[in-house]
Amino acid sequence: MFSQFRLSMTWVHTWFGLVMGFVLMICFFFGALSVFDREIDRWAIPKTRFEPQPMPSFDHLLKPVFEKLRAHPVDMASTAQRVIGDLPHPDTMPMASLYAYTTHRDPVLSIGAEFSIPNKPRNPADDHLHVHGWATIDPRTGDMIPDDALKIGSGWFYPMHYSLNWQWKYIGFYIVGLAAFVMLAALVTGVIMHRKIFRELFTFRPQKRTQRSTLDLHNMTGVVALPFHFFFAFTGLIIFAAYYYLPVSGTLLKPLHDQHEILESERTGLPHEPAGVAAPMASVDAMVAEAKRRWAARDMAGEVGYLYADHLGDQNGYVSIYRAGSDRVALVGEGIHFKASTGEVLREDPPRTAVAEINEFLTGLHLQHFEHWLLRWLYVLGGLLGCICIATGFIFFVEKRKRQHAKTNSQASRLVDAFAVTTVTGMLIATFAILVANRLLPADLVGKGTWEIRAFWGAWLLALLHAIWRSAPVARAAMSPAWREQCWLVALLAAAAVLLNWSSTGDHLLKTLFTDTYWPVAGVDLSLLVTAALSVAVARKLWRVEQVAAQRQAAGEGMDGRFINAEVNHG
Amino acid sequence: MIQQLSIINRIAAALIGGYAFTWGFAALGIAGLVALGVDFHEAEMAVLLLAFLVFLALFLWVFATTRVARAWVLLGGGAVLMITAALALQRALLG
Amino acid sequence: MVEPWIALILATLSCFVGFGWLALAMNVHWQQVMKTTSAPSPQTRGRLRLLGLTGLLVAVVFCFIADRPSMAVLVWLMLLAACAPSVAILLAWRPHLLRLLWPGFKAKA
Repeated sequence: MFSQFRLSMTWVHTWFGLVMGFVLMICFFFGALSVFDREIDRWAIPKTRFEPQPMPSFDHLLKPVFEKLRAHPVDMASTAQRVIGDLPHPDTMPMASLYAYTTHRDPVLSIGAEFSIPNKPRNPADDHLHVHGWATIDPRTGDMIPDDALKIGSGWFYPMHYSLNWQWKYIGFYIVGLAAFVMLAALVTGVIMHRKIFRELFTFRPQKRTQRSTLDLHNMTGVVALPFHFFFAFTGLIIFAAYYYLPVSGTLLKPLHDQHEILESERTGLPHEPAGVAAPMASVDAMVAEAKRRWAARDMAGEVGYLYADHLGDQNGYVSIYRAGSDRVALVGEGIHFKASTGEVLREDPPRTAVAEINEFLTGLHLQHFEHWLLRWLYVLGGLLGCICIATGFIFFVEKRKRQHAKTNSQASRLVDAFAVTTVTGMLIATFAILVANRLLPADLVGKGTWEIRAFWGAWLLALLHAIWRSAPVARAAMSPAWREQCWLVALLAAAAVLLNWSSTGDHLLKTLFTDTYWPVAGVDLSLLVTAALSVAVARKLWRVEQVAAQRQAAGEGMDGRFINAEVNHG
Repeated sequence: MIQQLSIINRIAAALIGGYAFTWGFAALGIAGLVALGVDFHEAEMAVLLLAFLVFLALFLWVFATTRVARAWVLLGGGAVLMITAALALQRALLG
Repeated sequence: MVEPWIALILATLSCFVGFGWLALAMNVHWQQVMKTTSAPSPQTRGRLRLLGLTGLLVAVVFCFIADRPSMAVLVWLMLLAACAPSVAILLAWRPHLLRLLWPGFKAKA
């Protein structure tokens, strides 16, 4: 089938790039938004618009909060399906373990716990016999943020980019995994196809016809951020490899893995199982103080990023305190482990081995817990360059084929163009629709989060239908007006979101920038306004292009002023 | 029609065959390193870092190669051999 | 020592002019910027390439001054990703601005 190496690689790039490109747009765009996920949360939940807080006192603030924490109804429902018999009442479930997690950007604290249940599993191999509970609290007071308040950044956009928010049998994770793998293949095949990567590094000819300028932009955005694109796809695969993509240690090699866990707990002194003997918990605040003292002694003073306590109320109980990785690429680390009942140090995590260090660096560069605002914004740029690369790929695909398809009456170009509109402007419409819905719906509405999610999917679906409806001209080798029309809607929604933020919270830009500076909200508002301005500029440019094309068509010329279909040679 | 089937065959070989081989590589790699005395999680991390690159190379090779049938045999056969070896090693290490 | 944000600004500028010089070393961009049909002389081309690479290397140094090594590498790679397309956009829309990088050239023809 493929007579030459380059031809076969071109085929892979074109067809796998096209099909998975639609998923990759979602990964890159929502991944870019995820860099500032917590800032978007602040915009969406005005109650949390205060400064980032360090981990609060466990003894005085967190302990009573955990005493009130219960198993979450959602997890109760899914666990009930995995066990025999009824689950006990949440008030009677003993708490087996707990965690608290924060970063340098979080005003609010994420907490959670596992609760023990006496039920037996339906599947004997199932050893996850706990029900989970979780909450978000204000670390200054211990108040819980209502569950209904959807964290649009960290709870919607962020999981969108790694799971498409499609939980059924984790199918979203697998689709994204395949897309990430195809991204790697697309990058390698792209380089193979585009031999002159350095010579054409700065080549961008916007005044030439669409096919040429689109290809220029596609090549440029692909090449200049090649390390970024490759490493993000690669590290994305690595992060989930052991759980979803190559779960060898949970399946084929599970016996070996389990044996290691037991040996590991013997080696580290962190018991794998509870002893069955009750014991109280010593002062956790004293443990935190000791952990901070030890970190400072190793010349890496820091804040607590993650606190974990296992075998609660048991003699084998231990508390693990990890340092927040705000000042370097590797994530949380330098764990110090304490015996829960006495507060003595059981173990200080040794420096990492070479392999572990590489792994922490790679996952850390993707998950970005570091405090470096320039690098974060550069990451957003990288993500957007990836989106431009994919979008120009779609546009090039259509431009190259639509004349041929018009002659043979094929609808293929039209459909691809419609899907392209949906994943570019349509995706922006959905993104801004959820923000608008967030500001329109009252804060105390029951199930507010669910309604916001409906607004998101509903808006995207409408964008798809609009795109398909308006794309008929593409089947005649002309341009679809859907691009321009959706650009106007994007601008409208983005501006509306800013205005609604002002009217519903009083936090307008003059306030958040100057008089009562609060960068998270100002940043989101400014980004919305910039997007609105760009959308308007693009819409007007597209209108001019459409007028010129219509005149040319009336005069009997081809779409690009030429009478002949010229094929573009790949560079 | 034949062209369509031939394309599907190649895609299947690249994705399914390639994935199976990668699975075998990962299993044998981890078990093998553990047998050599490497800590399990260390072995897992190291092997998974390599595994996707191995898969990528195989995937592209299947599209570049002239005979897909040969690819199926090498990938499938390799997968079976490596998985069998990994399971045998595991039994030996635990037994 | 130098404040991190100053070092990062200098790194960005250094990267940008570095890429500007590397672009000028290529025939097509030289002609775009200098409004000439001739190519740069081999001597000029060599000098431009050297300046360009120096610019990129100086950017690395400033990145390492601003941050710890593991972050500095990431910042530098991302600055490359930001500055290269910036030069390309400048070449597409305001090429004459890049004349500032090689003043004193007079077109012969």
